[in-house]
Amino acid sequence: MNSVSMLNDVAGAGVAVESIRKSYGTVVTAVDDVSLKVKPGEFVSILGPSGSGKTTLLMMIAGFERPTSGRLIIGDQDMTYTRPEKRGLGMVFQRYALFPHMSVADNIAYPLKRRGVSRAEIRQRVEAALKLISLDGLGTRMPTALSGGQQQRVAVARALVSQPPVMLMDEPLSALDKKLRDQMQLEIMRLHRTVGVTIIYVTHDQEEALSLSDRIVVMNRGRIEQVGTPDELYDEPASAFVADFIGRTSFLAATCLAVEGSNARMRVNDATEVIVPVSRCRDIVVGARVRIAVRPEALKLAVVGSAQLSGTLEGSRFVGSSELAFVRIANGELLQVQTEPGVSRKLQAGSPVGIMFDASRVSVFREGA
Amino acid sequence: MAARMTSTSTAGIYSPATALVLLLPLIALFCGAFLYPVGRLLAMAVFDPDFTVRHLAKAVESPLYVNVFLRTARIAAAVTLAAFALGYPVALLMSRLSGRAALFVTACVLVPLWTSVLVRSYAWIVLLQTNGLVNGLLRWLGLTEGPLKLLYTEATVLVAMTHVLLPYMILPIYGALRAIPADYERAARNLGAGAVTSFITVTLPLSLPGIFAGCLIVFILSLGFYITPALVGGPETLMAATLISQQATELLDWPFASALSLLLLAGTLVVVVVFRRFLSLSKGL
Repeated sequence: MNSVSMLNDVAGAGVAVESIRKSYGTVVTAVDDVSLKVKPGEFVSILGPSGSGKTTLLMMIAGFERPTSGRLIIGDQDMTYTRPEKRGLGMVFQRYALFPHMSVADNIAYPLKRRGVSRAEIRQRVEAALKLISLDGLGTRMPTALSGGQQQRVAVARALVSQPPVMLMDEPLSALDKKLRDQMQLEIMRLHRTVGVTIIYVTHDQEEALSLSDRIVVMNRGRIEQVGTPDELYDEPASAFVADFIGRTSFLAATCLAVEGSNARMRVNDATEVIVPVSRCRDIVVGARVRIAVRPEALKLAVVGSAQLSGTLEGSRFVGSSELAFVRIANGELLQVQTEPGVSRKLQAGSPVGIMFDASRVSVFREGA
Repeated sequence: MAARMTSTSTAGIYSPATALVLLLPLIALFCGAFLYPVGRLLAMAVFDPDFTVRHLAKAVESPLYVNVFLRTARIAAAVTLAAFALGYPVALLMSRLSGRAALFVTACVLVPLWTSVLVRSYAWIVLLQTNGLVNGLLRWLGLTEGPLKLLYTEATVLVAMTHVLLPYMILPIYGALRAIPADYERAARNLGAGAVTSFITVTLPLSLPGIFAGCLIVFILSLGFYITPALVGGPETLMAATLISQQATELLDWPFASALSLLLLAGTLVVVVVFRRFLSLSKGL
């Protein structure tokens, strides 16, 4: 563990983004009034589809883009317009950005040289860093002679060796294959735990965000849709976008008929009526068109007559520990239903099936919201 | 390199025989219009009609001719240096610009390239002659009494050649700079390097292949440059190509002209080999 303490004695710093906006010209607004507080030592992912502004936000935190307005505070300093080299942040790039004309050791030594660290100490710290990422002895290799996963680890070591209080990661695993990605996720989590650095991690991969983060910031069209723990985002999505973006979700069009005490009565599929707890609904008024978001595990296949909904089985897919049945209901919507392995695949495609759903586990949103 | 290999493999849809037939016109042209005449010319240097080194010896032993070669090498080196010093910033600017500004700078670099060397050289004469624009301006400003001798000096040859050859320096460097992902410089800045340090430690070394290519092209073109030095240079700035042309077309001493050509070609090849060695050393970059 000595090698770890060599890497980081500095505790992670907090990052506060205050009403930051970035527009290009008058037409394009890449980031629109975003505020966010990252606690010291926290692992926060910024998740969103491409074009959601997540990378622009990261570039502004790193100092490569100037915000049009707003403030950025790192630790206790206003760094809104501080030059990138003066911010003292670590960063891991999508394609690693290891300097191809320098050896692995020289790459890792680069930030130390810039800070005027003595030669002897540089050698020591580079060796410690190589040990931490289990690449000891490979310091003299050129980066191109390493595998993708190894290059990734070197990039992480290079970002961490100068003991930054905050590390920024821009889709660092997107260039790796699935198996390596899982392994690197574990390694990043281990580093985060041992080193204690604050990590801001940009990704478009919801699974990655769910498994790595303390909190996730979901962005869409330059704005924050929701900030929350992975559980909160999954169980209580704040918008239809978040419900759709995180995990598997089916949507049912419905009309809100009445609110009776803590329950709301809705008509689904123009025929069936269901009761949903009001706590699962977001700004619903009686008579409004709504969308009910349901996870596959909140749905169950059932006998046709006794079920709430009925439809036709279109097919099913084996997903390892369970199966997903795809059921088309009368109004044309396709629902994903989780079943025990072997259950749905025994049924013929085209056969009629019933669906029961667990109303306590759905989320209801206003149409168009 | 990888891209070239794939293109070779797609070319594999032609059978070798078809490929040969398709290449034949080019091979015939190359042999008949290039290899044969150049071979004949170079052979003249050492067969007159029997084998002799007389002409070569004349070129190497006379200080007059040795001086011409030395001057040629010196001017070529100076032009290369000047073109690099002027061209690198332009290439860097081009690689950083986008949109209309990039289009404008690129046009400024390319349009001279599409203009005849002859026109560009005459333009310098118009500017620098005794009653030319520069002298006129200097006199009007009262900076000089009489006209300065601006034409037919080594400095003029240097300036004009640098101007003419500048695009050949800019374009390869621009290509190398454009190929460097923006993330490298961002990484350097993020890791604590200021703009200047990140340029010196990352951008400059990564653009070395382009620098070598540009310098090689400019140096070699300068070694054999004919029109510009012939037009704006005088007798005291005689360069190799002009000397060869004099021997061949004015003095009709073809064997000696070909001996000089042989020496110039040999010198050029040596430069190419040396540069390639540098280039392959920097390949690891």
